[in-house]
Amino acid sequence: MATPTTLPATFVAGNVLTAAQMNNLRGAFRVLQVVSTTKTDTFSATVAIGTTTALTGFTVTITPSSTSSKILITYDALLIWGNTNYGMKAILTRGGTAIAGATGDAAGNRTRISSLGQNGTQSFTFLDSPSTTSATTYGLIIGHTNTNAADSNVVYLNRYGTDTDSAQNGWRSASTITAMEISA
Amino acid sequence: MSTDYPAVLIANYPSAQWALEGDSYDGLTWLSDTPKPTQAELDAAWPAVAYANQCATVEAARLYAYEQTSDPIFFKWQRGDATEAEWRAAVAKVKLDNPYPPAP
Repeated sequence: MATPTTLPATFVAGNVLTAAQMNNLRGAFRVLQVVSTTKTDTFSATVAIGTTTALTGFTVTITPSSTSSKILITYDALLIWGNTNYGMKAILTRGGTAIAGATGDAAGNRTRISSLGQNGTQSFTFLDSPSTTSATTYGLIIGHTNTNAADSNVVYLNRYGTDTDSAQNGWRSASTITAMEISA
Repeated sequence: MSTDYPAVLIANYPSAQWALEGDSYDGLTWLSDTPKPTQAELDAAWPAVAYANQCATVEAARLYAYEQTSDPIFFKWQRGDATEAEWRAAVAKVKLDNPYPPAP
């Protein structure tokens, strides 16, 4: 984080801060607002091999108070591919578009993603610099690593593929995406 | 048991593209060019799909149990270290322990 410019570069014995400097200091290094969405219902969708889909209902919108603010995004999402352990890919988006800095480096035709995991909860944290005071929406687009065209290629959030009351598959989970505005 | 719409869509509309927000039919977005099935059609198909899925679960459980219990006895029988009757009894127990659900 940058030090507010009205503050001394260093403090020495005897320094007395002005009210303006104290107010400036008060606003520094802190979380200005927190917005969070916890999705407690399910999401299911077909995702063709090599493609992705938006994870609807799993977004968070924050309106930064300053263009210099940083937005700390975290998500914990329980993602499932069908009934087996193929990888589930997740890509953090801003305004529906992948955030390049929140994905791995480009390498050939490899898919740039934010996180990947086999059936289970994926967690990810990213400090964004949207440079805006407009409402900004963060979300996920998801895909899978299966390449067998014969499979159904259905992905799920917060539920298992075989969704029954059995001890093995009888569960539902919640997933959360959170945005925190951090003063610059 | 309420309809598991993804399960029905996977079973009966394998080529369709769709997204479902939540569990109810109201959350179904149909992305294919084919006509969107009605809720009544999907609900009507659900018992058969549920039964097939339950049978598949039983099959998987039996397969695991065979590997763990009766298959070793089978190979012992082949080597002369067990009897065919012992193997058949082990297979019968697997089936007894993992019965198919009643048909809808």
